[in-house]
Amino acid sequence: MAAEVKGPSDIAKPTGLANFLGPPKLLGRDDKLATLVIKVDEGSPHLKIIDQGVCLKCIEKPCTVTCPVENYKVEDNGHTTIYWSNCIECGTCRIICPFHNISWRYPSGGFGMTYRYG
Amino acid sequence: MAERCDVAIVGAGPGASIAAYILAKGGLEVIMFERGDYPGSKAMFGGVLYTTVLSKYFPDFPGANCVERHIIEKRFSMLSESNELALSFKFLDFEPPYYNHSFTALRAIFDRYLAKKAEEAGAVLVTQTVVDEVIASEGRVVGVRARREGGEVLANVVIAADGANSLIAQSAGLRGELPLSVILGVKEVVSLPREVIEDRFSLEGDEGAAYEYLGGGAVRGAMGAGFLYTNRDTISVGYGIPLGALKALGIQPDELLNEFKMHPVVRRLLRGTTPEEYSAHLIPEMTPHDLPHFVGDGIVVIGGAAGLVNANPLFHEGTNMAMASGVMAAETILQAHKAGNFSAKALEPYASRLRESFAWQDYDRYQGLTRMAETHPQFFNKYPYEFIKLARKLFSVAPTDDGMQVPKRALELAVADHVLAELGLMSFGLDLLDAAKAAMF
Ligand SMILES: Cc1cc2nc3c(=O)[nH]c(=O)nc-3n(C[C@H](O)[C@H](O)[C@H](O)COP(=O)(O)OP(=O)(O)OC[C@H]3O[C@@H](n4cnc5c(N)ncnc54)[C@H](O)[C@@H]3O)c2cc1C
Ligand code: SF4
Ligand code: SF4
Repeated sequence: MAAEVKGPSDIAKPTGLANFLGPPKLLGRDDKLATLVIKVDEGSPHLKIIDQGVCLKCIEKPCTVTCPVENYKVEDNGHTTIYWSNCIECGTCRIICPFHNISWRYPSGGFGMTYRYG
Repeated sequence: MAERCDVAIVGAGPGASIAAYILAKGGLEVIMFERGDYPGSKAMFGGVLYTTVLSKYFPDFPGANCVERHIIEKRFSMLSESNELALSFKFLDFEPPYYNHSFTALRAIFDRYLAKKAEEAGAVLVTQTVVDEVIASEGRVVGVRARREGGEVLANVVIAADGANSLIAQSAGLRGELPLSVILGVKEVVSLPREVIEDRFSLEGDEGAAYEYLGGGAVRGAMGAGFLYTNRDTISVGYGIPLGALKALGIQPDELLNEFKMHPVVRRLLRGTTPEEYSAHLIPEMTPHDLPHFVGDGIVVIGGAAGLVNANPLFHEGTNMAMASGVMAAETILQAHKAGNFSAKALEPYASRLRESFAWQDYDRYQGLTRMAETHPQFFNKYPYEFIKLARKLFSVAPTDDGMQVPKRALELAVADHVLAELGLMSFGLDLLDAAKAAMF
């Protein structure tokens, strides 16, 4: 008797690969932040808005759409708040603010964000 | 009394560490300041390390577990919303151990490796310490001021190796503000078992692949590019976009990354992956006009701090230029030390050697291409889509009403029509000419 011809469904599937066929896992901003080790220098913000009056007059508010961790929020009263403790020290807001209205420095040594991969 | 040393280096990235290594070998007292917990703890990059300079000093690096995979495939592709047109270059004939001097790497691992080499040679590494500014006296730089008790350190020469943001070069008055042409790089390192990576990207052993996605559907038609690099059991996936273009898009950078990851073409390569780390940093892409002075009295600027990157749709280099400039700066400082003169004039040979080297020449040659791209958005928001449409027209296998198939001749005519009607042969020709000019001069 001739050997039975195997159809594609009879061929054993690799067990390892099968576990990695789902869609890539996506993270929202908060979960993205949670992948990082951040040591917060409590009470000592390294970023500050210099003059809220300038923010009130700033129409585009580019800081709110360019920070990679969305640290800039416009409050109901029109003031701009920096959630500085989430900062990953990329340097964007320092340059994007058209009025140089952000006092920007690095967190003190030993504080801020740490990459394990980079 | 402030502490004293021969050379104070700000930063412990690839440029800093190789300079520290050479200076320490040359017998000088070197202190390297790093603001992170360890070298590489604050650093990220796309992911391909170019090892031409590295291999000369540390020929054994491939066996030292400091890099991930050697690249055997470079793939460039254009994306529309659902399609891809790609060009792949596979090169299997480069010899071990350095192959084509292109290795994927992770900075938290590589930077530590290189800084250790500098320490072994006698350089002192001080971590968790931010340098806020240079100390100047009578118009020359005489040391650095670190943000800690007794943080003043005097030195004959300061090396600003603090990367893209380079507040040190700025504090020394060697450059102004960074321009909006600087690029924001955003990435995730996602995990996948190594067998799955090798299977999916058709790699054997430690071979790796570097995929670049030029504009088009990668970053919503903006000037910018996506990338995907295979590490051992992780993949680096991300994109770079000039700040000006990002601002104009008005989408949150973290959402743009998710969008790129979920592009139907990219998503298939990332199946089953789990994000392990999110990161973002600036790439100092700028015109010669915005670059800092490379030397001042008692100070030299190297690597990313000096704006030495070749970041454009074709190449993403910078680590090699950082290491090359580190070598040239260190050798010049050794000469200056012999002569006992650390003036800008005595340090000038660093700048002139730099300008003769690939680090400057590649920067200079390709920044023209980047400038051209800035004024020709159609290379990102029009042509990729049009080329994909052309390919789609030509390769469509279409039935006719009578149950037969559209002849190829008709498809070719449709392509020709499209070229004439949509692409605008005249303006496309002119754009190509601009691109060629920019690449030539
Ligand atoms: C998203 C992205 C993708 C890239 N892709 C590639 C690529 O694929 N291939 C490639 O070759 N290059 C790439 N580059 C460029 C490359 O990363 C840089 O050119 C290179 O890292 C520059 O090295 P460096 O030693 O000059 O400085 P950096 O690597 O930037 O290191 C600077 C160091 O100084 C420290 N530091 C900064 N300020 C201070 C301070 N005030 N006090 C103390 N310490 C300080 C930092 O913590 C850091 O460790 C990429 C860059 C980015 C951002
Ligand atoms: S860009 Fe500057 S001025 Fe405008 S809202 Fe942000 S911080 Fe305020
Ligand atoms: S430095 Fe970067 S991460 Fe930090 S607040 Fe500014 S833009 Fe956001």
